[in-house]
Amino acid sequence: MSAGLQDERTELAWSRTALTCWVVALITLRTGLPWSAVALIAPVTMTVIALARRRHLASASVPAALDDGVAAVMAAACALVAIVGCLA
Amino acid sequence: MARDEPGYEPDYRFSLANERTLLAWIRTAFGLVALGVPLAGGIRGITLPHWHHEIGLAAIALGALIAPAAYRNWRRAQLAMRLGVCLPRDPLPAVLATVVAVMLAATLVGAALR
Repeated sequence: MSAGLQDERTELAWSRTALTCWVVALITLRTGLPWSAVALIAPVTMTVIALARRRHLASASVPAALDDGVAAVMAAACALVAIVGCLA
Repeated sequence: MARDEPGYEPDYRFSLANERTLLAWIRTAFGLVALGVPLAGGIRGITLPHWHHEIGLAAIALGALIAPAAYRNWRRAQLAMRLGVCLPRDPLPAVLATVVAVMLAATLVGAALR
């Protein structure tokens, strides 16, 4: 496996994921129901996680593996958007 | 993963590859939700096929299912790399392909019936 650009590829993947989360949450928000704003919790959470992870990847010479709890929070954020979208 | 996990920390490149796989599945789940919400709710000015509500809900449900399943697969893959054993089989691609095929078939039949 190539040693170069792994960090950069992973940073880009985080950016794409956070952006996708925002798009989906905004689509869900357009349903107009007041409580669909709950879906915004997901992209905010994802953005915070993505920024922290990107900073770590950019600064560490040997990046640590993704934390288990962080991965669980990310999956939960995705499920939250899906549930709000289902109820909307 | 927690530092007291069994085995040894794998090459960081493999961990990053596993992480990118998780992120790709999460994006797939988001994509399904993005498809499902407008379908389930209806789109003004556009004639949707029969059962668009059910198809939309199925897409959203699949997205909700993929997120925790992808997390589980990520954990299992990370543990397998730490232990130096073969990566576990991943049923998600087959599940995704099957459900999407069923949704597509239902859409085609629903469109034909309109």
